[in-house]
Amino acid sequence: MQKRKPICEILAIIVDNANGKKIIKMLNEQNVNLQIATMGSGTADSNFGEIFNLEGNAKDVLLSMINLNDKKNIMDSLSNIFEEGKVKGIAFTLPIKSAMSNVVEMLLSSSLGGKNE
Amino acid sequence: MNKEYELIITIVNKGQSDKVVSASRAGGAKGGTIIFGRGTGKDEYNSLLGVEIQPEREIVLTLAASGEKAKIMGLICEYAELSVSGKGLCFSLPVTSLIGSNTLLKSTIKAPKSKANKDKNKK
Repeated sequence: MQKRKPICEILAIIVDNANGKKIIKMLNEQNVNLQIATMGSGTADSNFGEIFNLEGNAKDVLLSMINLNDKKNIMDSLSNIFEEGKVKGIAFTLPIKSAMSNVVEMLLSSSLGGKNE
Repeated sequence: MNKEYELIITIVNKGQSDKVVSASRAGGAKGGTIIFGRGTGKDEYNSLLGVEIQPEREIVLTLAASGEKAKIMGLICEYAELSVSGKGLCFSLPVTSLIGSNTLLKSTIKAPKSKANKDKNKK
């Protein structure tokens, strides 16, 4: 098995239900090809919510695999979207220690940037 | 600000996520996001009249500062009784980047002293 320096990370984005499509559109424009979207539920953190026994807010949880070369651009774009105030959410990245499958490399954006060790 | 965060992932049976969220808040976390899954372990599914029944799971994602992670995980283990076999599990992953954390930081940071106050204190 070839050893390479890390070339990708998991990008996790959690936004309100209605705004998932905007984020997906932005990710597609940034050539992020490997994406999984799932539904989630936020936990209400207010006395108001507890008094009226409101269910948690519906969330879109988006999991993507991003190339480290593109990470800065993607995070800057996300930061701009959140700072505009229209989309409320959070995004974070998780390191990947190892991944199997040639398809992973194909699905990442074109510049791999990895080196054989 | 260079603060390190970790993602705590807790997998419990359906209906138990409230305990995990309560534990997270007791430990200082803001809350969590719950997603749904199903168990696929070898001994986990049963069959009824030949139909496989896979147990439903709730997965709670909680972001926590590195310094608070151990405390929060301990509380989650206590509240959700994770030490009992079959109740679930909890683990953490390091977070390398984080944005949109203003709501997380609100409850954990203090406002920095202004320069005017610092100079005043020096005199």
